[in-house]
Amino acid sequence: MFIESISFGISTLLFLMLGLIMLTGKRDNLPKNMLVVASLASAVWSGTVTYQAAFGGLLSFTLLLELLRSLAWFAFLLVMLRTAYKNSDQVNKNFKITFAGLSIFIVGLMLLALYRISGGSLFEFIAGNDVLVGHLLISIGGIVIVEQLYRNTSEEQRWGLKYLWIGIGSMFAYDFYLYSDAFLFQRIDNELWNARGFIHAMVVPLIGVAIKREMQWSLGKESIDVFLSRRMVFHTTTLLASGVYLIFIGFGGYYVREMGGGWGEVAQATFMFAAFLGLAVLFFSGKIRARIKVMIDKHFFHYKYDYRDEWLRIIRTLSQQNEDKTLHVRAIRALAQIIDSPGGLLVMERENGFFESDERWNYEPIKVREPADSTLNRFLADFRFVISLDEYNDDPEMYTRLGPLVLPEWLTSNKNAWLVVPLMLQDHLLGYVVLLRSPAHERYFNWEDSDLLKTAGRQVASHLAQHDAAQALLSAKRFEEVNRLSAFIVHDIKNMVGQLSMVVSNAARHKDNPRFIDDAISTVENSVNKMNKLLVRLRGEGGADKKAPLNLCSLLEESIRTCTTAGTLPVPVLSCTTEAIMITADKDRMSANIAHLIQNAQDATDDSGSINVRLRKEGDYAIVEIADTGEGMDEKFIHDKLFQPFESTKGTMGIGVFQVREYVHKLGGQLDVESQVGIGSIFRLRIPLSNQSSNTAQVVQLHEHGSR
Amino acid sequence: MGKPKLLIVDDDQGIRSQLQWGIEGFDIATADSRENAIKQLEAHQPQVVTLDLGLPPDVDGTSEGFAILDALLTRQPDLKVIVVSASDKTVNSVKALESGAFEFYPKPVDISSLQQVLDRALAAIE
Repeated sequence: MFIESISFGISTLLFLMLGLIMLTGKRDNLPKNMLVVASLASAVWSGTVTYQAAFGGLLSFTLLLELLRSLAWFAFLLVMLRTAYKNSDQVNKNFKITFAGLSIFIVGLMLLALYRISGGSLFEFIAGNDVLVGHLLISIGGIVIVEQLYRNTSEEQRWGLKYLWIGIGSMFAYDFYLYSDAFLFQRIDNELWNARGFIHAMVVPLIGVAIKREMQWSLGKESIDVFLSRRMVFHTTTLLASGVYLIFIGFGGYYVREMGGGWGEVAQATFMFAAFLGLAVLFFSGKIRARIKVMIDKHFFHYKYDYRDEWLRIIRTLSQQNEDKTLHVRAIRALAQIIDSPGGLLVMERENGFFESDERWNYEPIKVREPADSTLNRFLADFRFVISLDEYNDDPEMYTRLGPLVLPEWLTSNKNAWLVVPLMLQDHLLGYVVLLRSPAHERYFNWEDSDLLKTAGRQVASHLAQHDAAQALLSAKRFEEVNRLSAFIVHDIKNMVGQLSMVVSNAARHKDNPRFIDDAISTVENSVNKMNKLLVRLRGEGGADKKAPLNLCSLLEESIRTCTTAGTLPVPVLSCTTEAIMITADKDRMSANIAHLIQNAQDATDDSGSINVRLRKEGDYAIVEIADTGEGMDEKFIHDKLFQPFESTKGTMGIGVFQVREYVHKLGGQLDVESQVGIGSIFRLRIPLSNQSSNTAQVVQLHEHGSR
Repeated sequence: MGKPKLLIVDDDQGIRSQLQWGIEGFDIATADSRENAIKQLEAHQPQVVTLDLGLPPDVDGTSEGFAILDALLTRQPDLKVIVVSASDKTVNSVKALESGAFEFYPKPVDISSLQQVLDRALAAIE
C-alpha cells in the first residue's frame, strides 16, 4: 500500500506539473491542448489511485478514471496523427469515425466495468475477463498508433518528437505487459501494479524534452509531406496480429490452468516459450506474411501495389550485378517477387525460330522447344496478355474468344505453373516467363496484377535485350580485334614482300653494281627491322597473363635493346632513379607494350632527334615517360585517332597505343599523352607499384645508349 | 628530248630505293612527305607520280595520301598519279580514281606490272 501510494503519488505530481506548466505556457495549437488534457487526466487518475491506496474506497471511480485517461491519450495521439493528413477531407472523415469508434468502445467498457463492479454477471463471456481484455486492447491500440506516428514523423522532425513517442509508447507497452500478465494469471500482479506509477512518472521527463525541442508540434507542416507507405501499414498490422496472438496466449494459459489444475512454473515456462516460438514463426513465415499482405491489399487499399516500391524493387533486382545469378535468373525473380511467386522459367526466342527454355529459378528441370508460330506464342505476341492458367482452365473461352490458344502440354502438365508473362520488346515477343503459383495469392489474381506484370515484363524485356546486345557487341569487338590483328600483319607482310621481291627482280639487272648491292642490303635491313617490330607486336597480342614482380628499370633497358638491334635511330636514353622500382605485370607483354611506344617515338622522330625514357616513383605509382623530339600530334589527332583500336592500318601508331593503354588500365594504371606539333610527344605511363618495391638503395642505373 | 620524269612519294626508304633501281625509262625523283612532294613537283616537273596513301602524320589512315593527291593535282591537273596502297579496301580505290588519280595500284609492288602501268600513263600523255 505504501509503495503504491509513493509510486502513484510521484506520477500524480509529475503529470500535474507537466499539465500546469503547459497550461500556463503558450498553447497555440490543438495537439498541445490535447496533451494538457491527457496529462491532467493522468494526474487525476494517479491521484485517485494514490488516495485509494492510502485510504481505501473509490475503486469503481479509479477504474472509470483509468479508462477516461486512456481516452484522453488516444485523443491526443489521433489529433497528432491527423496533423499529418490535414489536407485530405477523406482522411479527416476517417479520423472522426475512428475517434468516435474508440470513444464508443471506451465508454462501453466503462459501463461494462461499472456493471461488473456492481456485481452484474449477465452476458459474462471470456470467463469474467472482459474488462481486462478491454484494457489489453487499449494498450495494443496505443502502441499501434504510436508506431504509426513514429513512422510518419519526417526525418527532420524525428529529433524533436522521438522522445514523445518513446515516452507514450513505453507507457502503453507497460500497460500491455501488466494486463497480459493479469489476463494470463487471472489477477493483477501487485508488484507490477505498484511499479506502474513509477513507470508512468518516468515518461513525464521524456515528454518534457519533446516539448522543449519541438515547440510547434505538427507532423505535417505545409512543406512536409507525410504519406502512408504500404510497407508501414504492413508492419503495423503485424504488430496488431502479435497483440491479438498474445491474447490467445492468455486464453491458452487460462485453459491450461482450468484443465490442468495447478499452473506450475515448468508448465508456464514451457507454454510461454512455445508461444513466443510461435510468434517468431509468424514473423518469419513468408506464407503468413504474404497472406496478411493480400488481406491488407484487398481490404484496405484502393490499389493493391505501391507502384513506386514495386518499380524500385524490379530495377534493384535486375541490376544487382554482384550476385552470382545471371541477368536471366534475376529477370525471373524480378517478375516473381511482384506476386510472391516462389519460382519461374524463362523461355526465350532463339535464332533458329524456336522459343526455348533459357534459365529457371526454383522451377523443375525442363526442356521447352516451342515453334514461333504456336498458338501460345502468337497469342502472347498479338494480345500481350498475361495468361492465368487457372482462368484458362476454368473458362478457356475468356482467352480463346480473342484468338486461338491451346496451351502446350509442358505447361499444362505442371500443376504449379500459374501465370505466363510475355516479354515484349516494342512489338516483338522476346520471350516469356512462366511463374509458379504463389502460396498466398492462390486464385486471387486480377486486372491490377496483370497490368503490373505486363508492364514489368516490358521493362525486363528491354533489360534482357540491352544485355544481349552488349554481349553481341563484345563478341563483335573480339572479332574486330582478330580482324585488326590480321589486317596489320597482312599489311606489313605486303610491304616486306614488295620490298624483297623488288630486290630480287632488280638484282637480275643490277647485281654487278656495288651501289645497288649497298641499297639492297639497306632494304633487306629495313625489312628485318619491320619483321622484328611485327614479332614484338605479335607477342603483345593475346595470350595468358603471367604476372610477376618486375624490376621496371631492367625491363625498360631490355625494351630499348629490342628496338635498337636493327640499328634504328634515334637510340633512346634511359634514366632510372636510385631505388629499385617494382611493378607486377606480365614481363613479355609489358616489354612489348613499352617497345610499341619506343618504336612509335622512333618512327615519329628524325634520326638526328632524341628520345628520353625516364623512370621515377610518385606515391604508390611508377611513372615511365617516353619523350621524343619528333613531329608531335595535334589535339584532334590525339582525341580522334591515337587511341582508336579499329583502324586497319599500316601497323604502327594506333594499334600499339590502344593496346598499351588497355594493358596499363588492366594493371590499374593510366596512360597520358602530351604532345605539340613540331616539338615532340611525351607518353606517360602510371603503373601501380607492387608490394615488393624495395626501398633499399640500388646501384644507379643510368644507361646511355647513344647521344644522337 | 630527255626521259620522261617520275616522282615516287613513299615514306619507306626501302621501297623508294628499290623502285628507283627497278623502274626503267624514267628520270626519277623521290619524296617522303607532302612538303617534299610539292617541292619535287615544282623542281622536277614530273609527268607521272606514284603515291603511297599512308604517309605521316596519318600513317594509319589515308588522309595524308589523299591530301597530297589533291595538292599535286591542284598544282598540275594533267599529272598522272598512280596511287599505290597496301589497303585493299574498294572504297580507297574508288576515292582515288574519283579524286583524279590515273590508276590505283595495290601492294605488294611487282616491278614489271608497275612498269606497265607507268608506261600506260605515259602513253596517255602522248
